[in-house]
Amino acid sequence: MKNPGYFLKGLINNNENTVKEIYENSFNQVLGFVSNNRGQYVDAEDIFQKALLQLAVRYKREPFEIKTSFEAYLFTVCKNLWRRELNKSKRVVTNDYIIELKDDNDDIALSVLEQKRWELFAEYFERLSGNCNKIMKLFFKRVSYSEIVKIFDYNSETVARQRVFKCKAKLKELIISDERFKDLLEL
Amino acid sequence: MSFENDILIDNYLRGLLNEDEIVSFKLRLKSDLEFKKSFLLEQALWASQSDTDWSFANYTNDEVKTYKKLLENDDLQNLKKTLNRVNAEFKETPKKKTKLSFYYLAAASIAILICLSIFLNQDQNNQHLVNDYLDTSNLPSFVSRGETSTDDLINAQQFFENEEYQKSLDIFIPVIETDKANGPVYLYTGIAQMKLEQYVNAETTFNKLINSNLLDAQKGYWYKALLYLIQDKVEDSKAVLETIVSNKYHNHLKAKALLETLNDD
Repeated sequence: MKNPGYFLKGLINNNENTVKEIYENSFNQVLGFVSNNRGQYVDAEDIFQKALLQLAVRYKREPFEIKTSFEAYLFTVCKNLWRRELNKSKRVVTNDYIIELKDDNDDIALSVLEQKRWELFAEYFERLSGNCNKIMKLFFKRVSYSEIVKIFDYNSETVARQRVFKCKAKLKELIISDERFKDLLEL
Repeated sequence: MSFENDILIDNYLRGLLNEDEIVSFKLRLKSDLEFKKSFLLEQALWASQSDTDWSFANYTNDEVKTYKKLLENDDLQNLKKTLNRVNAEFKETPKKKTKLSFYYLAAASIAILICLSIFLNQDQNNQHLVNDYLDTSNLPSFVSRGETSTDDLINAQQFFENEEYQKSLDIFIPVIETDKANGPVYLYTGIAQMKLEQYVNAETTFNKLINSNLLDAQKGYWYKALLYLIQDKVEDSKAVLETIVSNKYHNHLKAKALLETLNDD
């Protein structure tokens, strides 16, 4: 398995053979995911290219380290980009200040920031204690309090709410105190 | 953040507030900065962790503007072109497999032609061989690549197809100087130079392609072999053809057939 840095450097150096290698290693996996989630071949092509450009521009701005394999990381980025794509229409409805996007560059630029934010959140989820980590994951996946009570065998919903409140306060405190977060979300 | 406020935000995000409560919630966001901060973070967490939502960034963020500028730079625009090219080639790969019988047929036809030429004992000079083997109809097209900057290349391709080689070179050569990662441009340029009998220039172009790390690099050998042949440098041509055959480079079957013809002469 090649070092993720090999692929990132290959991208910013516009090395056609490296790009080809990335396609051979990962495109079919992304195609499978997109096809199984309401997408077509052209969507997978679009997502894959945007993901590679996202990695390239991010690495160019500031080299970063990938702690998993390059393939696993790229797949996560593609999954998030596809989730982004599927929820774009929702954004038009809910945001008061939609700015008309002119081209793909706007979209990719935004997606870099969103991916970085997603990674920061994921990092702090992992730093929570085992119980808090589990309860937060369920909470943010919108599992109801009544189900949380059953899963953790709590006495009542009030107990579940208090537990959620404490874990969430800890999570928010950790995130807000991180310097990186200031650039990632305007509060 | 108090427990009550936390429940209020939670209920808002779960859609459990009535119309009046929503109005009052939004007023609170405008007047209470701490409340707003806590809400925005929780909203981002909700959206980013759910499978059915996504936390979108704002275009007003300075970081976003920085990335946008970097994306507009030539190097990343060139990467975009490379991605389009590799994507197109990758897409074609399975099709090639389904067309295997066609290629066998083509290879068989070439073999029959060669046998016929031997049987009829026709003298076939190198110019004829090059004409037979130099098929420009399979060169990649610059049309429909989804980029705005390819208009010039489409025009150059048009000139090339109309055999107005000098006009096509007037466009291709400046492109090569600025975009060294465009394999098809090297191919068009080298062949146009060959057609105009600018053999030294053509060899330089094909050598640049061969020494690049582009996907089309292998194709450089094939055209270089034909370039030597058209100049009657048969031994040089055979050496390049042998490289193609032994490494199974682009057109290695054709190279083998041509090599056999040259060896029979």
